[in-house]
Amino acid sequence: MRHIAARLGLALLAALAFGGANGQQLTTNFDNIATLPAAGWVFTNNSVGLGSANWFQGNSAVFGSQAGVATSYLGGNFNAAAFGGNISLWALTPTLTNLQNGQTLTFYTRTEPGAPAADRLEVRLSTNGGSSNVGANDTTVGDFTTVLTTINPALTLAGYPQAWTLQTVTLSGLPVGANTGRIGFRYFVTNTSANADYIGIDTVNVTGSAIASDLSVTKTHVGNFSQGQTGATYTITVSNAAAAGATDGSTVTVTDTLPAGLTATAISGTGWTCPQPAGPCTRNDALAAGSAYPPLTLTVNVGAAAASPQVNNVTVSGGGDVTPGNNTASDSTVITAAAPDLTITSTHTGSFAPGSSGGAFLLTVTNIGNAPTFGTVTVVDTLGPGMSATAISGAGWTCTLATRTCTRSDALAPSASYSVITVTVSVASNAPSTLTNSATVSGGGETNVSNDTGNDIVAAAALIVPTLSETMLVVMSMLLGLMALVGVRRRRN
Amino acid sequence: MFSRMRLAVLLAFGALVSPAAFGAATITIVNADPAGVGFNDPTVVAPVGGNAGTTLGQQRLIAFQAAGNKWGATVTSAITIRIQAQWTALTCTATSAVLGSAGATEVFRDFTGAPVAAHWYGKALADKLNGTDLDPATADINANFNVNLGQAGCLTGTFFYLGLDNLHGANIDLVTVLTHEFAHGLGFQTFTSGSTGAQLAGFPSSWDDFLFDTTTALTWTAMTAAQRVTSAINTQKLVWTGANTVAAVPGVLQLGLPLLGVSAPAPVAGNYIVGTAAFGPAVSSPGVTGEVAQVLDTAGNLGLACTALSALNAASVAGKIALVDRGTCTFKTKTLNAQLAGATAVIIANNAAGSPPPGLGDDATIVTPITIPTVSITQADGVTLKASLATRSRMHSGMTANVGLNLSFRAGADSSNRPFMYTPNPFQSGSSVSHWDTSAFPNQLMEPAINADLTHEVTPPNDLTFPLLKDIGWN
Repeated sequence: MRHIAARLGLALLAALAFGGANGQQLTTNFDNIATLPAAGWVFTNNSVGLGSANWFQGNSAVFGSQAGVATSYLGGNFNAAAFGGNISLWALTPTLTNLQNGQTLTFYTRTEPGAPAADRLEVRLSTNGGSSNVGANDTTVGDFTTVLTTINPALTLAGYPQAWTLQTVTLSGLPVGANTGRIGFRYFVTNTSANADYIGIDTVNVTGSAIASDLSVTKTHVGNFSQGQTGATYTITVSNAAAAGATDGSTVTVTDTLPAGLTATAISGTGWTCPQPAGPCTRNDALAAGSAYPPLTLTVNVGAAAASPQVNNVTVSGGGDVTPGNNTASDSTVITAAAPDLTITSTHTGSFAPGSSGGAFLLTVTNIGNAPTFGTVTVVDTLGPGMSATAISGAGWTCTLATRTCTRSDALAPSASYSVITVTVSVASNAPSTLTNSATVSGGGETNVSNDTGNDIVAAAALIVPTLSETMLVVMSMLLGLMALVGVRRRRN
Repeated sequence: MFSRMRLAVLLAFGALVSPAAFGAATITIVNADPAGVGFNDPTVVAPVGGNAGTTLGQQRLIAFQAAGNKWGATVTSAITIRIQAQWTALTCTATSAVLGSAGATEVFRDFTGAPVAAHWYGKALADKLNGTDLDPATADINANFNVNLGQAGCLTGTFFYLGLDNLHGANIDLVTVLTHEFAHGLGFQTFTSGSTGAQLAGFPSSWDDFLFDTTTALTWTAMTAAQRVTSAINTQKLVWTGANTVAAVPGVLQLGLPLLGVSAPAPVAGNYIVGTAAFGPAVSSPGVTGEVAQVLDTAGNLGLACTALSALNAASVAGKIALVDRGTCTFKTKTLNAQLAGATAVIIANNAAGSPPPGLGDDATIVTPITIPTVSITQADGVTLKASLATRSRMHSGMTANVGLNLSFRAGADSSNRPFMYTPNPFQSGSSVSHWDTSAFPNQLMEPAINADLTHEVTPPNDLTFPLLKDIGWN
């Protein structure tokens, strides 16, 4: 397998598991077995009567490798156990994240010509994730309960190949979809006083129709953004297609590219690692088919002069995805222009009893737009029947009582309000039980005129005039006045 | 003014015996035994092997004179060399014994005539070099010999042979033992401690300039104490560099050193020290080369090969060099079982620490001819080779070895003809460093054990003792 190492450029890389549509999950050539533990291989000697040898670099004096330099194979021998002991010597592949039915395990193995003692090799499978549990002694198998194949199961002399022989095992019986686990090679021989010689293993490959992950990404927002807006958010979601394989444990990266009119201020999401404020964001945990990672939230500010629409792109990559067609999402956001937007409210205070003259309407002009006003702002107050204005004024306003009109020309900032305008009224003795005030604001450069009127309705009790003494009348009118007030307050509450 | 250190308390002088006056030096034996003991033992004995003495004491003294005369005819000194000797109880068991011990009584440095300043010289050599007796009141050499040898519990039944003709048979030739011990007294010893590395009073011995460790490439003089401690147990890596000795080695030591030579795999390739077997064919050249196969037949991952090999082990070792473990049965049993399974040679890994690996004794109860060579290796080397064999198959290991004589070496010397000093691990007090390594062949007088095949000669072509003494200043 030297040629594969050369093709990949690094011998170490050749020993790493990787996923892909071409199905090459694992290839190991045993050029230097000292590098294998770092690449995820696990060597465990569970022999009882532990001997002097674990797995070792092939001894070319016994036989040469199947491929590569003469010592380039994995060797095991009777010395795994002491004289008379039982051998259970394990070599576990790195964790494979995409084991599926139909995939193929191939390897070569042999013993020496004329071997005077019998050898046996079991190939077992664990689907318990990265577990390397093979139990505690020569008879245990831990999580490696599935036997893929056994070479020389009856442990007969001459039952083990004496020249390099290709072994092919097709994976079957696994849960549908991608499974994570390891393949275990178990040199398994009882009683080394009579059995066990020397075996070699070379050129281990796991290949086949493995299903790769298929990641996609979406990006959404709510409503329109407006020029100058701060704290607007997008939601980015990475999903793995239901019919795909799990991601392979390699890094998944989300990169968001913002247009000129938007500036990122933060990006985060559960389980993601994100440089602030704009990413890209990464994670390494596996994502099962049909599942999504926790969403990413991207917070942006909208430029004061941002054009509309703002279109930005987000891309996901990695995780063993080999279908790039769905790895980018575009999001188009309408950006509304900046403008003032005036509203007005009317409230009231004081007595509105028939015949009274202490009541007043309080008018408040507010800019709910996203730009300051400019030019003259005009407020016109219209009193309903039964009332007449006796005064109109407000700080900073220029008011005309006759027309109940006030104007001013200073700019009003977004979210700010002008000083209150007070319209003092007299209520006629015969006023109706419902009194209505309507105030309208206009001007200031606003373009939205749908919200420019504020109404205020006041209910007043009917007046009763009994025939009483003047003193009683005075007392009664005072009591009724109080009751009217109480009634007003009741209704307002 | 020179410096002097007294090395042992002298006992009272006994009667002076007749001097051995021929040769280039005069050597006298000072009898330090009390009445009725040792040299004064009145037990009547028959003459033996040219020793005409009529009592046990007389024969002992005559044997001493013979050994003294050998050295007197070999070394040259104007100053009489006086050897104070006594027979005492030395350490022994029923199967082993300290035969004797000897050494200089005093050491001197920086005397007139000293070849190297600030180095210790034994008294006999210092006297010779100086031309005067630097301490006339003290003998030059002190020697002790085992008075109980052969008695029950002391190498039971094996006695000193007191004849002068070396026809010692199963007994131990006293003249040889004496010649060996007197050589120590003449200077075949370092005064630096091999167990602590400490120099005597802070000065190196004249020896230490010639002790060279091939691992560190340092002489003992140049080493730290800690380095000397390590060097003293660095088996077959501490060599003697004296020019006289190195020049004499090719004429004395046999070509070829028994070794286990591993040629593959590369991480364990090299030469491994072996012990040789007293059974089967001797390790030869080119020896047996083949793949190494390890026997496994016993819980604990041992391969004892104490019973007929299983079919599986037989399949493994057939046509190969079998590696087995020491223990449970005799070495020869293991070799026989491997041989019956078709092995071409046997390596036995020691089951206890230490080096060199043991020599492998015979098992007379096995009469089946052994046709394949057997060697032993240290436990540590066994561990090394087994670790390399861990990834083998039943039929192939990829480890290629040769059990044979390595002709790059002479027996007991390195490839530069520098003889190995005796540096076993663990350290053997009284023996380590101040002897030749036991791998020397033909056997040498100054190996730590007296081999039965020694002659009385101390010079080439038989022996390297006198060349070493010349290196430190004798002639």
